[in-house]
Amino acid sequence: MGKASVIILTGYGINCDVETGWAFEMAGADRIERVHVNRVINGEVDLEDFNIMVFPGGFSFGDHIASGKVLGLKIKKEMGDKIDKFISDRKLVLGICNGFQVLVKMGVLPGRRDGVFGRQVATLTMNDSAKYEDRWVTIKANADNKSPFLEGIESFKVAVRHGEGKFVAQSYSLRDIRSSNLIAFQYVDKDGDSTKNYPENPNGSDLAIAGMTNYHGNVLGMMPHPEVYINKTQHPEWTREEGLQDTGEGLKLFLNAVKHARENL
Amino acid sequence: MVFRVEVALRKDVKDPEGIIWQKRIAGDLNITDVSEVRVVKTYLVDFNDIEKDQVKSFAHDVLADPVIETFEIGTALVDNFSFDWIVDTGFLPGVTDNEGKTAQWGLSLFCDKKQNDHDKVFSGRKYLISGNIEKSQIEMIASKLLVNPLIQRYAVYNSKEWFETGKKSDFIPRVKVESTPVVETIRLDIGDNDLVELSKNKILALSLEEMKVVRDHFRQKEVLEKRKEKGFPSKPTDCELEVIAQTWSEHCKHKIFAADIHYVDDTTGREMDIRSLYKTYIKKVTYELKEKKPWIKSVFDDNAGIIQIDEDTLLSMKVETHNSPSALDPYGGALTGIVGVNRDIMGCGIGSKPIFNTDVFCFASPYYSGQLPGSNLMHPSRILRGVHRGVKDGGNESGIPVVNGSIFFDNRFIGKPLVFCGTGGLMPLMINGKESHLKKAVKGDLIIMAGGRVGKDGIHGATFSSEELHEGSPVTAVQIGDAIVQKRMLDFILEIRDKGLFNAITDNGAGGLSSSIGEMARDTGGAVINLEKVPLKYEGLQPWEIFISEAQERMTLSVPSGNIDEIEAIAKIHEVEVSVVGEFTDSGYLEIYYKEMKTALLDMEFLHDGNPRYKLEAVWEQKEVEPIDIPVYESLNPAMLDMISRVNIASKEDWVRQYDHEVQGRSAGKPFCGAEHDGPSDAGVLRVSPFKKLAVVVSHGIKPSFSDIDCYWMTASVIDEAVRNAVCVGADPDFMSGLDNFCWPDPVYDEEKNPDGKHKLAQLVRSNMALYDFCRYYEIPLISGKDSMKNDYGSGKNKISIPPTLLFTLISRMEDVEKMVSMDFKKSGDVIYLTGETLNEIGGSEYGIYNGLHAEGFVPKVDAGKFKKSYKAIHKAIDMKLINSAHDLSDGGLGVAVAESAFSGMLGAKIDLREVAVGDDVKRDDIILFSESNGRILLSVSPENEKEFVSVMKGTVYRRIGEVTESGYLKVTGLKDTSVVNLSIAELKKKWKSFMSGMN
Repeated sequence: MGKASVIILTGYGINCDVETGWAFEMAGADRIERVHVNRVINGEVDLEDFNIMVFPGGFSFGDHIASGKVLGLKIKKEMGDKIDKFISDRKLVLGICNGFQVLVKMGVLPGRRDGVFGRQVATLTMNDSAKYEDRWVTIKANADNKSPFLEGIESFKVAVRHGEGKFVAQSYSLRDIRSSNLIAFQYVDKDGDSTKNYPENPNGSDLAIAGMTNYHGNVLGMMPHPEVYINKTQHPEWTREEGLQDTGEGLKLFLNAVKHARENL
Repeated sequence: MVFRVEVALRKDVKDPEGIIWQKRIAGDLNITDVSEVRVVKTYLVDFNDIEKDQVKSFAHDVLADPVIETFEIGTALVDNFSFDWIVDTGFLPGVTDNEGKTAQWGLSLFCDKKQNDHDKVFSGRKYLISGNIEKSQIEMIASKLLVNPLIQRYAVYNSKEWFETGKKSDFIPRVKVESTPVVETIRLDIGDNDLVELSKNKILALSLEEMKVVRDHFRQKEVLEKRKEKGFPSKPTDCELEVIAQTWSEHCKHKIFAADIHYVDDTTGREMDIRSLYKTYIKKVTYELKEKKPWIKSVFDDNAGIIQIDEDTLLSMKVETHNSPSALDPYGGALTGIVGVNRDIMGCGIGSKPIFNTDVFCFASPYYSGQLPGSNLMHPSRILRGVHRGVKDGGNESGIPVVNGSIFFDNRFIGKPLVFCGTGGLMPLMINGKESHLKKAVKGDLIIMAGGRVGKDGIHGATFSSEELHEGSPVTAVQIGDAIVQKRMLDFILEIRDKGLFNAITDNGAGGLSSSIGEMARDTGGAVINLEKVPLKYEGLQPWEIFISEAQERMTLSVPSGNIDEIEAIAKIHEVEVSVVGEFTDSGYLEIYYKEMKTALLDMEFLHDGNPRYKLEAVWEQKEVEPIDIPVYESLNPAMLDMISRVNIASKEDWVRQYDHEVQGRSAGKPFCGAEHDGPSDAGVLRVSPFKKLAVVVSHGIKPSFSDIDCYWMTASVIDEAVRNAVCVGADPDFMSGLDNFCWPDPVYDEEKNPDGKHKLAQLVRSNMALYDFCRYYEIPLISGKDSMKNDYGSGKNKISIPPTLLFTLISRMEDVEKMVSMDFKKSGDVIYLTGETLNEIGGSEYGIYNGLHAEGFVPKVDAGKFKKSYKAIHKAIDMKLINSAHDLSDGGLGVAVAESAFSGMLGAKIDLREVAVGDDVKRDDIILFSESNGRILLSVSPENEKEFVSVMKGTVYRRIGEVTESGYLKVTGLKDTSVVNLSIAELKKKWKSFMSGMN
């Protein structure tokens, strides 16, 4: 069996890199490195040495101009070929919050059926409330999306922390995203149905999209933060809910990634 | 060539920001005829060697979102929109423009241009406003809402004017300073009046006595000889005076806390002489506790206090105020406040990593409807919104969660809002085999400035905050931070720290390089500085301006010369600018040059210890307690609903939820708890890491309204409140450290300008007495603190002084985070207990103020011996997992606490006021329900744990007062066995949540 080697990109205002590392540590990854993007660009660190790459949450470039846009420009321009190779090799890429924004704005999500970088056909824009908010929501995984990240995940509560999380796509792309089962997670209401209603849907996303994958399922982007629900005490109701497991439900995603990397990459 | 790029959401896309502005125009300015607002982002590209096609491609690929936005080069974009008015806005020259900086950076990368000093992008906003409104209304919308004229310019056009003139006008806010650097000398051989005038004109904020000491210093033979030997002019230079003024400012030297005070208690006739409040009370209590609390690692001589929380972890904390800047530009002031205190943590010990922020604000009511007392003042709702946005952006963009805070409203904060920003940080106990709380610059080390560049921003900030605000306050005091530049710097510093590449570090805050280098040079006894090496934002700064500028995002490091190359290489990775600006020496002097110009030669000893000590008078007169006059009502339902929605009690969820409170993954006790995630938690709890059970608890107490009666008991009360809050969640009462932040009105007597100065100083003395007394009783060392002493607006008769305010912040510890308790009721059938005694203490309380009282009635006191025993018992019960919920009784007393616990748990409650332990003179239901007596905690306990709970609590005052119910109602039985409150939880909650929401 192979090893799960995780590279977590840092720099320019990325700020969830440490706790994302903790999540992989708890999930048992064999190697975890937090690496400044410039060290990948200048060749000091080789992406080839890893099989899981994370674009963590944060505020790259302060969300100026548009969230994820300028970091996306830099990454695509200066290490686009390396990313292309990594994703073409079907290695795993996870973008959380700002990382999801970067992936969408670089055109990696939804991307292309026959390649990696596509045009930007979707966006993540200002929440309908026009506010940045930190709140817990319930998301449901799309059972028809066969991404290795999602194996065995149904629905769970998790924090969203963003001001620009409203997923919008051109209508033909949206149809394709749905019909090709690229939707990974949707915001759901009390009954478990996807919803447009605030605050269950915290931003007004089209199709209540909270996360999506590329066509091959090896790239997952999501607005919610599974990395900060890896143990019970991170849940807002842990002092009153008796049935909570010691480990948080967000951990499953990281366990899946580690397992898949070990077995297949 | 300058190109204009304009970007907007497509016409068919909803503009959420525009909708918010429309709402604010209606809500704040009462202008209801606006039918639509749309926002256009503008970028003025001022680059050398760039083609229109390149700008167009950049706009297409980067500036405009292809899915929802549209753009044009030039001004044609708005032709596609309908509007009646355009408000075109942009920053004034020299104001930090973060969006513009990012656009410039992106465009350079986009067209493979090297970053250079000339190329700039200036960002702005255009607001397209539709509706039947007058020009005067548009002017008001622009100047009162859309821009702050201190930092932004704007132009207003109706649609006709727009097409005639507006389209053609372009204002490029490039800084143009026509001046060559010179060093001037200043004559001090002048009369007393002229010295005073000189201090005032140069904004030195030095008193006559201080000016005389400076004058005499430069007359001394040894000083003159040394200057001659070094080739310096005999008269002091502008830079020297500025450095002395900055170093001796109230902000940096804490002259009032260091003063000799003669204190007279007119009531008892007692007199005493106090040599320094700081030494007599604050330092003393900490030193007395040091032996008992071996975990105190570093107090009083670093940027922050440092304690040890387990075998290999240090925790540091600091709280700062940023009041004056926040009054002028609420957003920039608060933003620099938060990122500034983050730097204190980055620069404490050998460098800590910030892991949480706290924020506490004091404002006038956002619903204030009177006349503003000065034309340069902003409406409190605007200050609240701006400060909130500044703290939000500063914390969120830096990736540091806000875990604890509050907002206190009192209309006496109309002239000076208070903005307290705190930060806690972690570092390993040892780094590279060295104790990380220690650091020392070494002779021969190079002085490195890292981070942002220097501009005129923030010049005279340190001296300015020591002055009352007036109409002519300088706008250079306003600055805006860049959280991302700072985040890059933090990543860089942690990396070079772990590699052991520097010997000492401190931040550039008040006083800039003057303060940071001046302080570090004390380690070696001198420094040589070459100011021309300091990178500038733009040309034209005078040498003295470079040295005292408070431009943000900078740290100063002391680096062995052999490590420079490695530091520069790592800095390049992080895109952090580092410059060698001098060297630490042991010459005994601070020697400053600008190229060959001799800029300053200052004796270190004189600079740091030469300032004369103030001699101040304090007179205390204990007022008679005035009786309270409140009508008696049969039903307290109306009072209960009014109390729960009072501005100081109502939920601030809408505001707090906009702070990231979970980033970094440590949050275990969040600001919100309960069944619907909206219960107001008593304290923030952070798990040190997911692999440890150890947690840090952060709480605070603040109660300016008690100061109207006696600052001694105000202080005792806020200490007790902070302790109570921490005890509620499960903190260990034996492991608590405090931070004291004083914000006072000017306590220096002046017959004309400050006739009640002696009383205000007496209030300060009494506050310090209580600080000493109660920190000693509770065994809380004071690890850090700060004072801000001139919180007044105007002078003489028209002066508006803030109520004396002490923020007491507490950091404590719990060994097992899984034992944490939240404030929400958990299960119907649980038994409700109230600990402590309820006394006739309505003075300064919310219920008193609600009834129109001001300083009448008894102020709540603290019986520390009794309370401590009770807290220890509660801690034990929590440790034994006997308690299901615990909630502190503070603003609004028992009534508010029980309602909050009930609706946070979405459960009902019934309590009986006859069961409450009360003082002999307490005979009224409303007093029991709303008294703010200290030392009380509301608990709920499972019936099966009651027996054990009772045995743990033995020897303390506690009563079983009711039970948690399924009913969805809060039912209170009064002293006469009648129902005095019977309200639905849903109604209470709705009231509580509605008051402060929808404003931001």
